[in-house]
Amino acid sequence: MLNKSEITRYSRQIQLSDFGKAGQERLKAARVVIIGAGGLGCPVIQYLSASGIGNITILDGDLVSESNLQRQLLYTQSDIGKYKAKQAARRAREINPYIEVKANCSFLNADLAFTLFSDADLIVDCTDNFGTRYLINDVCTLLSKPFVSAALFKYEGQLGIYNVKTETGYSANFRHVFPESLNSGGALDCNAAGVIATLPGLLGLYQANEVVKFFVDPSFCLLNKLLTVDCKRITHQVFEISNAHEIVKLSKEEILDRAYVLPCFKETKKEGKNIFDLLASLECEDTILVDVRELSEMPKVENIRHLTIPLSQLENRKEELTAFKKVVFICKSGVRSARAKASIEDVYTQIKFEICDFGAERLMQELNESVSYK
Amino acid sequence: MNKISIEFFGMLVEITGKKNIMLENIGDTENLKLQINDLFPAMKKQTYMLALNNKLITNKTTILHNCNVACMPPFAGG
Repeated sequence: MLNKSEITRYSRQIQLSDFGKAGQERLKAARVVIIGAGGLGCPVIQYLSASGIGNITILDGDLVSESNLQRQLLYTQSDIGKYKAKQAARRAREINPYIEVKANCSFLNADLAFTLFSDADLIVDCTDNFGTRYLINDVCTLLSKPFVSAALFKYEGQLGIYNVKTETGYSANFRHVFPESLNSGGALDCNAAGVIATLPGLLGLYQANEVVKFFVDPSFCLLNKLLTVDCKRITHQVFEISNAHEIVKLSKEEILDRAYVLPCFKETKKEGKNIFDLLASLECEDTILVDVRELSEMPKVENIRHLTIPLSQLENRKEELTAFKKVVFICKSGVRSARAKASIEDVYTQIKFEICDFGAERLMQELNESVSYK
Repeated sequence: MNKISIEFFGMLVEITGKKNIMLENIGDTENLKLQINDLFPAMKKQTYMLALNNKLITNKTTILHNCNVACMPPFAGG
């Protein structure tokens, strides 16, 4: 039941004729899991907290970095180096003390997805990589959970609400739109491609909008549709998904066995292996560090023997690696390093390929603080 | 003449250097992809879905006169 203060707080949406107290009660009873507290996650968390979603879980294993502050408006300068999920949860409680907010400072994996999603009414995909998007899709589809997913590229965004129960079954899921066989690994995230600050705000708001509509009146949701937004040209287009009737669902065993390429380590937290293991291995001239990030990404890897071969160029430049016996890939969060290793280790079986277990940002931070290595 | 308009999204705009192009006498979606690859060889390595008149399609489909075609790659950022 809404108390008097809550009725006052939410009065502006309660007074909408197709919303009312009943709609607000449904928001209060809702349990939503938000995966990702970055560019999309921040506006989603802000608006779902303010709107009165009663139970929110925020999952993100990442730390706040300075380049996030341009568009991830839940964070300030003093949050740099802190866990996004924790800081976002704190801000959500400040926005609305009448809701419950939990933080989980982990990256999503299959086991965690099954645990978290089982008790949720809806999941919001605010992630930045395909591995996690497909994992969310597959677990939600198996558990019959709806989810809202958005994705960005520079000035353009895509959005859909998927797997919603209807009178005739379930609406389309993400694999109806983008089958994984498309080999979507080449798509760039915001760190690689860049993004205008307003775009994640706009798409995050559209996501929050779909979530609120789902709980108040799902007939207004974008079922079996893909929304695209171009904030440079100021155009919106809605595409119909025509194959929603096809069954596209994985079993739990298939999901647990599947090699989703997922982010796996924190960017700047000083834990786990330090860089000295890497530096020691680079003492051998036949070992090389390969940065597979795009050329525009910062910080640049410096003062350490390395090659820069963006993942998008690896196929054309792979011959350069044959000069070495051991290659260590590094990127931002492990996704592209894993993809680089997978794409090449069967081609050059005489070379040992490894993935650096920390990202370039942490490497440069620690190098600048303690080591000068040439 | 059977004219159709093609609209590119996301990275495909950078790869082709175009947001929109017009093509003629395409016939079907498989021939369309071949023509696009001829015009823009870098498109051969790109992954994208096609939509005809704002309807995403998954199978080989005839393209009629005055059809609007969208080439939609998946986005990753968040």
